[in-house]
Amino acid sequence: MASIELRNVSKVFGSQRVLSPTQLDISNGEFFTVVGPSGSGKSTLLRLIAGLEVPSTGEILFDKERVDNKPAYSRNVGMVFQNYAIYPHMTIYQNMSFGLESQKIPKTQISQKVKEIAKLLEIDHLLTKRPGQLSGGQKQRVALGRALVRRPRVFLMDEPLSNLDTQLRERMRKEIRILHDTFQITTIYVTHDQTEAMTMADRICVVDSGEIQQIGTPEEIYQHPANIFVAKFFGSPAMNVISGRVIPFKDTLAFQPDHDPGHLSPLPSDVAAHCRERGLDGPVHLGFRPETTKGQNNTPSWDIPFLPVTIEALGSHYQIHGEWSGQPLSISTTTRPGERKIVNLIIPWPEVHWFYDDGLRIDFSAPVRVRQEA
Amino acid sequence: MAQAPSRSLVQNPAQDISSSRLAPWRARLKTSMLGYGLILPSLLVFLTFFYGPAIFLAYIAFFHWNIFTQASTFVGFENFVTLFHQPVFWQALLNTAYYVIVLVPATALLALGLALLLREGLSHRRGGISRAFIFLPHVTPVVATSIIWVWIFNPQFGLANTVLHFFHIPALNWLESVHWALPSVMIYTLWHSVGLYTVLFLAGLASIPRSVIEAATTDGARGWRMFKRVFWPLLGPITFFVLVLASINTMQTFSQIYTLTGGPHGGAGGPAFSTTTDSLLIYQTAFLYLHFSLASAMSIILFILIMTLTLIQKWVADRFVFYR
Repeated sequence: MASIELRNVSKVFGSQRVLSPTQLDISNGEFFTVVGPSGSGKSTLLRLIAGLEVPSTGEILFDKERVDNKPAYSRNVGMVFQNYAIYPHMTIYQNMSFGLESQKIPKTQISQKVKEIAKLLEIDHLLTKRPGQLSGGQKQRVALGRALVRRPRVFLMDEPLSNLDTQLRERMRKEIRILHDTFQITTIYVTHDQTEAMTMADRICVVDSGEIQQIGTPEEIYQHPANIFVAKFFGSPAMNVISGRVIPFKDTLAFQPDHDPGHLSPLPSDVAAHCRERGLDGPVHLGFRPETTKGQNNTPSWDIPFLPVTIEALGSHYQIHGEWSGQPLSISTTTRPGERKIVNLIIPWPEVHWFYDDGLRIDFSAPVRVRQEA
Repeated sequence: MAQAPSRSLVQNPAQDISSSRLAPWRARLKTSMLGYGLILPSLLVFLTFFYGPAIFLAYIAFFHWNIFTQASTFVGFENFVTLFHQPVFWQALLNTAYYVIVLVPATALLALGLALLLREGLSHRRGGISRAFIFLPHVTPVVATSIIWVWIFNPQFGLANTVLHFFHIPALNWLESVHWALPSVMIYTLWHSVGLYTVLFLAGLASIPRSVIEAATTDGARGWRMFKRVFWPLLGPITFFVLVLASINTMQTFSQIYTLTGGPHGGAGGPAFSTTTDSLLIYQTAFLYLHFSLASAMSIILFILIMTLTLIQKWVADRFVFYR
């Protein structure tokens, strides 16, 4: 068990920078997920911590002790790979005892530890079998057990559930979380699946194009996304983002969408005041989550003419994909609208996310900061 | 009425038999004719130049056969009995055994070592250059490079003795020495063939999933332990293949022995029969002394030896090699 710290760590392959200088502080016993699209550098981040890659710059510390100059075999990390990476020529027992044998532990103790973990993971009946005879889910359990049996300082998981079917994935999600709560081993969990990231994490780190976009609790990430990328990455369907401008309108301000300039939405006075404070009078992006639309509302709201095109019935609710004068939008509601009939969407202004032209979040609750013009 | 067409097939087979039962058979015949047609040219070449002579060889091994008169007399196992009474036959067998027993493990070990060294560079451009250099000798003609090695092994001004001199080791007579002639041939063959087996081992290494090696690394394995527990077992199938291939190739070695030890000037296999292996003796018996029947009998013995060795290797592999 260890805390992990990354100071200014970056990675360059040839002429390609896959990870920009990165700072990270992961506390002891935390369940930390790293999420991002493929090619975002999240796996590289994990492999740097494991010691399978050498950082181009920066330092990696476990419990304030530098490890980036230590080879992978001496870091005592437990790693779980997407394709399980079980030793195909060894029995399940040998797979699990392999790491312990490197630590020169007496045989009887090894056998005891392996059996204990195998029992916990419900694979004790498989110990004499070979990996070829196992199902995907069983292999994944073996991979977890193999890493867990050594009681590593750090548990690293690289998309461990990606090759499993949906039902099994949901079950393993819970089990991994329970394992973590039992053993309290600091865990870094890399995934491209936002649901996995949200449901399992104490804290989430969102990565894109080799840069950390945001670090926060699942609630923070969902409710206060730092930029449009994070906003759109979490939530299904993704957040609707509409580009437009803030322009003067009568005695207040209004939002003028780029795709439908004739449709002006006057801003309520408090929002207009925030905009004036920040000198917002140019291009902005406005976002709202599909589930925030209301049928009726008393608070000041943003009204949008919405033409439903496809309706997906999910039982508990409907996901409706449609458009507003050519701008695609998605909403989820509990009532089924008429097809091909324009309805009025009502989005309360406090539910609207504001983003600058470059995609960064405009936080109306934060103190005013003068932004440097690029 | 909707079911009528499908039912009629079952109820009135007589009227449909020509089209329904024979049609798939005809279609199959058509595709198989095409298949046989496509392999026919190579099959003909193979039968004429490979199986034809092989069967003929097995035939004349039991006859007294004269190449000029084409007359043949059945003599049963007499040719084999004659062979067993000739000391040079046993000498050749012994030489071949010595050659194979030393050369096959040496080649395999060296190839494995080189492959492990080159493994890290699998994805590197410079790794590719090293691989090319190691593989290069294998694509050179044996006869041409053998002539170069005759110079290298020259006791007076050859490179081999220069190297020995550099390490303060007494000079050797190499190809002119009864003790060193066959080892010299081995050194040449090692140089010429190790590239092929290195590339085979590299392919074997490349087939081991990277994540398995990485998992072993995070499990604390490295060096000898990593090799013994991960690389070696997973390389089992390719090691078996390399050993079989190298055994067959070394048992059939001819060109370099012929060229290095005398070649067209006569005296190949010397000095004093110290480099006379089976295949060289077969050649000399058949084409120098024109005892084709004896040579054929010898070929059959060599064939049986290679077959036996391969079967033994297969038996061992089936028990100890792990196949994914």
